[in-house]
Amino acid sequence: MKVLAKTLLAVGMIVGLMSVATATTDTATSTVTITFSEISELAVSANPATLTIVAPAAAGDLPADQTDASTTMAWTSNVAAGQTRKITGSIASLFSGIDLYVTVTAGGGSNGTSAGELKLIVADTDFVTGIGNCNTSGQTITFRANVTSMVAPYTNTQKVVTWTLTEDAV
Amino acid sequence: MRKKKAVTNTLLAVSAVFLCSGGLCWAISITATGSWSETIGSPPPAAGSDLPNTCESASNAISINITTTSGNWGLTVKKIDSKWHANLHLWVKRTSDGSGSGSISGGSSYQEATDIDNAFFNGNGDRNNVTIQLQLTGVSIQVPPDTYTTTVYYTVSDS
Repeated sequence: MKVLAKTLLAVGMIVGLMSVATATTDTATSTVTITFSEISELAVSANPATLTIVAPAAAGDLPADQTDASTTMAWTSNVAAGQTRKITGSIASLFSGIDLYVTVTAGGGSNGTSAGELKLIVADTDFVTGIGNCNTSGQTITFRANVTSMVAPYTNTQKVVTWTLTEDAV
Repeated sequence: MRKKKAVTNTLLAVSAVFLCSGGLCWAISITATGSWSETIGSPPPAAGSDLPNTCESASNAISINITTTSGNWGLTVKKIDSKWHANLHLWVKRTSDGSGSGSISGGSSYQEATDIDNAFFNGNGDRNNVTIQLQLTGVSIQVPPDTYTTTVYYTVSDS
């Protein structure tokens, strides 16, 4: 009887310890997967105002430059680590007797760096470079028409300027 | 000899009692079904605009069952990241009481899941189909395009 009591006591202690060790906790899991898509969005606010070349003040001079800064550009961009984007500009064809120069502001930092005033040509030209993960709007586009030579008058001549947000060369 | 047999029988009986009462039969159990996958930036925001700062799963994205309970219990939550971005924060909240013989309380407001266990909600007795909603904050264009994954751990303990 004594042996039985001792055995029960021992088993009871073991049971107690094992209960504490095994019966208290369980864990379940769930997975969260978030995908950030690549975003490359560019827009201009409107077409610039018509640039009208007028007669020079003094005979013998070329007509003065005309400018327009009434439009803005906005972009939203994200890129993988170590990469950047840029904004290129090109013109479908050149105006007769006029060179068209453009400045696009950028603001620096991840918004990118403005290249300053550049001449629009048929080939793509980098106007803003080093664009990282950013969203910005209200960046001013300034057009400047510079008369290079006197040509026969023309009116309502439109040229398409194409702006592209694209990958910077790594 | 007879005494030995009696001891053996007693041990067997006690072992059986242990199996059903102390450990295996009443070990608290939790299961979680469901997951949350979200694609951000499709469709993209308008040029010049940022992404919305937050996004939410369905209110019943995760369903939790807590069974074989023996009384009061508490549930904690944490996450372990596989690939994550420092700007992102994951939040969880309980969106239903579920059903069952027991009771449940707490966890009905969003709380952040971090890399350490934090008390989420608690209850008494078995509860089935307790639904969980998740929320992601810190979403912005500053987060590089990629796929980010984390595992949420729900741990239930007798209390």
